[in-house]
Amino acid sequence: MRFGSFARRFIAPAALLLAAGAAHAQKIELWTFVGPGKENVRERAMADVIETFKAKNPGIEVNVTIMPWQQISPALLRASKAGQVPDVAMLYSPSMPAHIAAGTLSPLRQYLDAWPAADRADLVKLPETVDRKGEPFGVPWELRVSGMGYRADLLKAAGKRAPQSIKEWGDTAAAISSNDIAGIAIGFSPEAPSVAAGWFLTTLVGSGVKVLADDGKAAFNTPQAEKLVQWVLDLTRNKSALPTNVALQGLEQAQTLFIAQKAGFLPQSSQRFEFIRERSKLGENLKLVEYPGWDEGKPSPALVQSWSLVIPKGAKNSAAAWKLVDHWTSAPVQVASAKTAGYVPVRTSALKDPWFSEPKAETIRWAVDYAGKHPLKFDFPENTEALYDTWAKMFGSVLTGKMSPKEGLAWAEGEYNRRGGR
Amino acid sequence: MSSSIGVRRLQPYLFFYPSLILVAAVSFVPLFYALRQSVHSADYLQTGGFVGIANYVELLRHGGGLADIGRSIVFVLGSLALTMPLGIGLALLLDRPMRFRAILRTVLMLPWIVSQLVTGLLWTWLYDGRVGPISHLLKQVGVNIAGPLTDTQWALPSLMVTNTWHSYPLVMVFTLAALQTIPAEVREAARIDAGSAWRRFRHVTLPLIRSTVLVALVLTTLHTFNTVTTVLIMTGGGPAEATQVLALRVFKEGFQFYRQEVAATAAVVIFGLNILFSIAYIRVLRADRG
Repeated sequence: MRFGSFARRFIAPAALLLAAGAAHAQKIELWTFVGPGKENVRERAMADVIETFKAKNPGIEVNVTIMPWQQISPALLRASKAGQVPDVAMLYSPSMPAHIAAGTLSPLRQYLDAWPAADRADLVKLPETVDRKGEPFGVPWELRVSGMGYRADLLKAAGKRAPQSIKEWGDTAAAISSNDIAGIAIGFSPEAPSVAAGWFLTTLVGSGVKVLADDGKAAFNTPQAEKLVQWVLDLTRNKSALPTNVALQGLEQAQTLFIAQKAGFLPQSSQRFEFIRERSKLGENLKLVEYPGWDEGKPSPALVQSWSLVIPKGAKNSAAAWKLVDHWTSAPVQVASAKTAGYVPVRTSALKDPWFSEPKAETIRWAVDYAGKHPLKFDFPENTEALYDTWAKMFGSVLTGKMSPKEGLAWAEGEYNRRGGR
Repeated sequence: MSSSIGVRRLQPYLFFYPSLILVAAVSFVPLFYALRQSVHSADYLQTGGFVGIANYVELLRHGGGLADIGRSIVFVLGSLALTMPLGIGLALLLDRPMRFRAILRTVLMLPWIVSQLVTGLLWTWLYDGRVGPISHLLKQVGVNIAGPLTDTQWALPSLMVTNTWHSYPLVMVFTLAALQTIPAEVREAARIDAGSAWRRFRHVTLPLIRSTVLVALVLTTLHTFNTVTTVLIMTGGGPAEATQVLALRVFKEGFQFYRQEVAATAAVVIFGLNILFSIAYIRVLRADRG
């Protein structure tokens, strides 16, 4: 038998069979903080995403690796160094700039450019997911907007309305507080300062000052910042409005206090409020309002954060990985995730679904409205956690009387710059 | 015949070298990597140029490293001052015949099997100034405490108490095991000759269990120097850096701020402190034996 004939008869069909088998067995590795399951709404939403993806792409298997959310970013950095990256990973938006700077992520321009213009315009854009040249490295799959939860029953009993300015917020907090009720539950502990530091950031930006200079160095030692730190300090001196032992705790303890119905106001991220409403049994007495600014009726800008999907550099199946990203961020999947788990959609077209007019979607409507009307314009630094940690230490020193607000801000600015933003 | 002799000769090496390679892979390689990283600059996980002792100078002179070392030593000594007497005392108690001894022994062992994460969450709730049971009970007897974890004076001692709760079972088990090796006739002779219980413990029991207690002391010291989880969960190093110990610094610099060179430098300093403390203990033991 001549070789050509042999090849036609045996090798070519075998190669085709092998290729078909390989295509069928294509597997992508996903790193996530929530796995598919039936235990809670998040797991059910995740299961729905994976099942609908597999139904649409029968040749692609999804292998899910679940890890604590705080571990994903450092684990991805180590995996990148070791050359053992997943195909897709979730990354929290404050961690994105560090990964972009470290060069661990694949640019996504080629994929996004392949979308129709309407699909590109429809997607919410977050500054943390792009580099300084505008190159995208992540696509958000859910959004969260920070705002203030408050006890409507306490305010009603005190004859107060939802605060429209920072001064009114302080006065109302003092009015509704008692020995048993803290006016405001906000925690500046370095254990978990993200909510308190996020509030500080948006309020500073809202008062019209720069927080970081164009070269990334700290520029927050300003009279406006001093006024804000002094306001917090004054609240703690009025012991019930913001007790010092509450202000020096972390965000989980602040949330626990509110759930225990022992606090009037709770700054928090939107995705937590449904959980808080259920646990606290506050029902309709838990209301949301924007972070107030210094001027009445002018709220501070909305701090929007997200979990984004990224394709790490060196991913083995980046084309299949993109198919998962594309599916996850499509309008139908976004609507389904909102209905199942209350996630704020990343596509504006998703909000046209009639479900978003129902009472169940009140928190989502509030978050979208706040973020749309008052967007935060701020270039997040390479490491937001370092900035937040520095502020947490500064508040710790001021609230324990070790520094005055002016000294604290001067120290924080110097410390942040000495560390080179990290 | 000759091949069986060859196998017999090789046998120790066949047992020894796989273990050595494993220990080297999980202990020595990371240690040398940290040592190397501590004398190089770094950009995220990329190791940069050789910088000599610059990272150490930066950590100790400007980075608050000296204060962190001071707090670590206070945390270790304070924890030991509580853990060792408690662990030894409970072991002496459990060594005596009593009712429900087996149940009591099991209950007293429980803190050891609780993870540091759960320990941290549990004690954070216990200490909570507004919803925690400790402050509630104290209020009932007229003592108003705002919350020890948010008080710069009380935060570190509170962490010592938590660490003691988690660590004493190790000391207790070691000591109890040593106590049970003391022959009955020695105990009987001591009971007749040595007089008071304190004199019996000091002059008879303690010398006989000293080596074991010292091992427990070394292990507790190393464990406490390297404790991160409970500190991270309970205070995060606050308030006003009152509980910022060196191990926490390693974790935060390495995994939150991605300053690998600073994390590696602080880790090497902790390693040095562990070695120093261990050498001191061993010298005490040798001096006693001498």
